[in-house]
Amino acid sequence: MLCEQCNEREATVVIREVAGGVAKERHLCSQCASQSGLGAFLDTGSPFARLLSGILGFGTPEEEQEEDAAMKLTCPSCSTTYGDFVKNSRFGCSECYETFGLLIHDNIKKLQGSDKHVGKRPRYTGCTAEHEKLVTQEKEKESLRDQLEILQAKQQEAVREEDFEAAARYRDEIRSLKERMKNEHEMV
Amino acid sequence: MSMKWYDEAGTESSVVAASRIRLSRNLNACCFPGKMSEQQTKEMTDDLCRKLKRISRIDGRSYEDCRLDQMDSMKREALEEKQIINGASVKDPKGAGLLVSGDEAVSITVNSVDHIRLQLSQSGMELQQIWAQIDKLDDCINEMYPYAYDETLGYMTTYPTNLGTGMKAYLVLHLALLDSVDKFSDIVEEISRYGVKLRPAFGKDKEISGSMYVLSNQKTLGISEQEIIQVIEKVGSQLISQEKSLRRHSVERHRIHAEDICLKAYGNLRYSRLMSLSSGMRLLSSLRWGQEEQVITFEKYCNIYELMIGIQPASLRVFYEKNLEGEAMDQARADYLQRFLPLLKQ
Ligand SMILES: [Zn+2]
Ligand SMILES: [Zn+2]
Repeated sequence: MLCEQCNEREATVVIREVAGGVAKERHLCSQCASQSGLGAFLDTGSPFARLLSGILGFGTPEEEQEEDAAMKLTCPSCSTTYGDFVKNSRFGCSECYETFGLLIHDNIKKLQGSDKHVGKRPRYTGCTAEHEKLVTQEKEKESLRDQLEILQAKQQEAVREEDFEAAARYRDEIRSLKERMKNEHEMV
Repeated sequence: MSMKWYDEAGTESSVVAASRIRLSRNLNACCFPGKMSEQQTKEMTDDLCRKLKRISRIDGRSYEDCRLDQMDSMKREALEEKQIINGASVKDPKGAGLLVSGDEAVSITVNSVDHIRLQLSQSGMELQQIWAQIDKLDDCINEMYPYAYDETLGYMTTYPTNLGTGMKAYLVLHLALLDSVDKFSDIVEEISRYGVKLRPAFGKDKEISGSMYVLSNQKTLGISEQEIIQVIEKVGSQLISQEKSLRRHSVERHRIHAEDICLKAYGNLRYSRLMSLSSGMRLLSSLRWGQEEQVITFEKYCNIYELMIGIQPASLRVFYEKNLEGEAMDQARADYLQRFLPLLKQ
């Protein structure tokens, strides 16, 4: 979702306001949030973290210390720190989700209204043996197809040049290649 | 020139200019764009641009690829005006690539915000049809590349705002009369309660949007693809029926006023020497609904949504191959409209 204010950056801060007895939710990017008068709460540069810990500027020194430690938490796979994430609201890799999981869980729920995916699941998610096999087969088929194209072109060339001996040789090669492709196809 | 997706008519096209679905996907076992080395990014972009063309086996379309960071920034902006790429790829194209189908209906941005951003557009209200197609393209890509996916959080994306389905569904709606009624801002507010959002389609400003709006889902997690489509269609249908009843009222009860507005708009568009973006968009908006409701008739059907895209700043700069500014831009816009606006049927 884009920030309601600038419509440019991703909204990463959810602000609940009560105006005239009506509760309203506003989705802002961290820059707009800090400019819109909420700066007093957010000027520590970590709106995401502050909303997360639910302290919005009312933190005790102990909590602030914990927060400082949290900011240094680093994803082992892509070396994004929690501080980076708070600043840019971008994950660096899929492992970031696990690394920052506990810290971000509540806010994801606030942002999305849910924390459980429903809907489509991809068929291939891991570098599983199955996928590797599929890819290798794909590559093999591709290279056979390439070979076939080359042979067919050569055959046509030979026919044009009226070199029928060569054309017949290519024809036989094409035939045996097609046979091989057919067999491998059936194996799959 | 080959047929483009917007040359075809679709369901409810008197109000719905276009439908679009976008899917964000990342490959498993590599860091997201921005966290990969320059070399790694380049290799992956080359690989994706080459192999993703294989989806033409599924949809029969032909695909061209290019590198966004080697493209003139003006051309990137024009692609954004056509909604082929998004703002992030215009501002920060480093390492990113693009595949576009010949009819421009399918575009895939690679290594911009996410590894893969796949989108499909169609004229009229056709989200179900689009989903059926894009679902197959997505499966085909997944056969080549295993995706980063989590059982709880769904498709893993760079921004937490795309988690879950990684899907956004859009309807481009022409609310020519509805957006000037007093209660319009209440309607926009009301809509947000359904988890969807209505915003101007061109720029951030209502004034330059030619009454074109984009309706899209806000949330992507905990809501299935079908549910997203259903809620967009439900809210979209409400807006369509309100817009239509206003048009009916205007055509049936105030025909002479409706004709006056449309004909004056036509005269202005045809005979101006200078045309600002906001006036151009406002006048084209009158022509669009006038044509759809048969208040005015052209010698041949005029695709006014396409003209609206054509008169955007970057599109004009690309068309005239000039870095137009200020008065020169307004003059080029007037010239462009005279060139492409068909004559009225006598
Ligand atoms: Zn903002
Ligand atoms: Zn990471």
